[in-house]
Amino acid sequence: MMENGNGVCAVDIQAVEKVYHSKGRQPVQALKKVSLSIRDNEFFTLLGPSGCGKTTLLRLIAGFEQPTAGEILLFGNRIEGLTPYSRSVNTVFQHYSLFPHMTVADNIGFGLKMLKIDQATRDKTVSEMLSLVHMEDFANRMPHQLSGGQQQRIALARALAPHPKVLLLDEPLSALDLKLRQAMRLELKQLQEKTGITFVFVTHDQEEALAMSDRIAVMSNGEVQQIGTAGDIYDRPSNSFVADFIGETNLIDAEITSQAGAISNCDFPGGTLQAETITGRSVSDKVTLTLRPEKLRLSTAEEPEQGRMMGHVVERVFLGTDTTYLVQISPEVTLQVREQNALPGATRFDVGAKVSVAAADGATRILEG
Amino acid sequence: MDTPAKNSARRFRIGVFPGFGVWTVLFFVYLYVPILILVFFSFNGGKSATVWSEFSLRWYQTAFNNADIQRAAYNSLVIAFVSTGIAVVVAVLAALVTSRGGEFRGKSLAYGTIMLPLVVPEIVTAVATLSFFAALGISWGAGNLIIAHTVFCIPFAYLPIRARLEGMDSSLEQAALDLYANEWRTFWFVTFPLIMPGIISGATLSFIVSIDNFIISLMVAEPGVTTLPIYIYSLVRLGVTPEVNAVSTVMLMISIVFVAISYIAGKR
Repeated sequence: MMENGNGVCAVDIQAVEKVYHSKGRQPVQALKKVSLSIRDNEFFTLLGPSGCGKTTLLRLIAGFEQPTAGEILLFGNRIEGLTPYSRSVNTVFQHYSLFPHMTVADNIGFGLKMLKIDQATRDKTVSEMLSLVHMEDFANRMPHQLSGGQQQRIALARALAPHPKVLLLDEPLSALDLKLRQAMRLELKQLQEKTGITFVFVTHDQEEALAMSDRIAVMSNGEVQQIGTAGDIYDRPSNSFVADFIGETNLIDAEITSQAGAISNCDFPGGTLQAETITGRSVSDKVTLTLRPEKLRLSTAEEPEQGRMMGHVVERVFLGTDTTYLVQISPEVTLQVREQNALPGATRFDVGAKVSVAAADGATRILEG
Repeated sequence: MDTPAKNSARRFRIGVFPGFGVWTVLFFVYLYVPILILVFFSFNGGKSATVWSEFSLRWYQTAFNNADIQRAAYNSLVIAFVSTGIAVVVAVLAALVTSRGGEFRGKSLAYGTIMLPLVVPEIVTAVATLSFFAALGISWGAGNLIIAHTVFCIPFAYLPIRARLEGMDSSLEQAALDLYANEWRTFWFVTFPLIMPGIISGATLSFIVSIDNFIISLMVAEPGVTTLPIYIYSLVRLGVTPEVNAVSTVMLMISIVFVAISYIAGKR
């Protein structure tokens, strides 16, 4: 078995490519040499906008499609070429895909029945699964008698019942309303911890990814942009795509004017900011800076100093817990600033007000890509 | 008077056109009055199929006791059942390939070929089938009719089954494959039960077209293998008696029952 960092490797994707050929059209390269390792007992999320290849990757692991090139290993064994029914991997589909002609109990027991597990064991597992997803009273209902959230739970129970080595979840929360989605996030995370099964979760919703995942792979254009924990990719995005896609950020084109060891001074119209030096970027290089709106503070302080920029408020958006300001500091640069409303001494700034913007220490980062 | 603005705001409803109701009534009269008359005179006690005397079921009795009619009805039923059975199997396989087989060369050609019996003039098929059997020296009695009927039954069975498959989310089959069912078990436990309404619908349709086929049956039928429509035709040539009406009414009822089954199955 492959060892990877602190655990066993559940799914190993090695240089996997997928090209779709269709009659009379240019071939579409859905995945370009993707390599990543998913650890055992990990909640791993593939995150990206639609068309980034995340669902294709999931379907390759499930076996619904075959890679054009590369290898896929499940706990050290190559599985590309195997049929979906000979892989110990189960899927929760986007629209649940419960069998409409079977009861809830028969749906959950289907995988076990196909594995030729005897009736008594099957019944026991089905009732365990029903209680795992808090649906004990629904065993004899038909799927069409259930609400969306209930169908979702049954789809989970059905996929977990055969105790797969890896559970694949294809945007399972996207069809639910906001409240239910938020409740299900917690429940999914708990379910993963309780069962100890590796979850591979596909989503385009960065909030969902940040809330649940042990690690996240951000994908775009058929490539992995960055892999890391929620904190990693939020605080240390490797390129402007990741910085922009995860949360909100200010991307500023700047030039490195001087470097003093670990600190680079970056100039841009309207200000100078200090950021941690990164390898491969030296004085007079053009770089992109990322600055999270919540790491900026507004004040009425007059004198500009290091990390402080002068500007005026051009727009204010009230968001309940926060207020977002757009502050123009030069004709080229407008910064988004997020102020918490509950903060003691929080003042409201009106549109047109002269303000100064200060960046917290370590808030400014130079992007590699 | 309505203002122009009011006029344009009114919804377009063809039913309010002047004279529309009259045409509708005439249309239904044109369609169904001959059939109603046929049914009506099947209960006539007298010997005439046009002059009413009294209510009676005697012609039904006569018809059911007529050994020739019994034999013809038996032939028709056997041919319809067997042809339908074969046609449904072929249609299910064809529908699976065209709806679940992905893209392949000649897919639209295959589709066209399956549907062709619907548009080829029946008399052409009849003559072609007859000379085909003659050329090969095939003389299998009812077997000849079964082969001929299967051909035109296939498109009728195929259409509703294909419609059902197209309307069925293929992720259900993927879910079954994902849950350790191989291709055959996926078909058996998931696809087949879910397309069952389409199969019932297709089977009843092809049963009906087989039961009342006349032109091809007349050409292909060998001596001694008479189907019900052929027998009715031979009766009519001797003059229309209420007995013909009675047999026709029974056939009509069978058709209505089957169409109803097909309709209900299709709606499920």
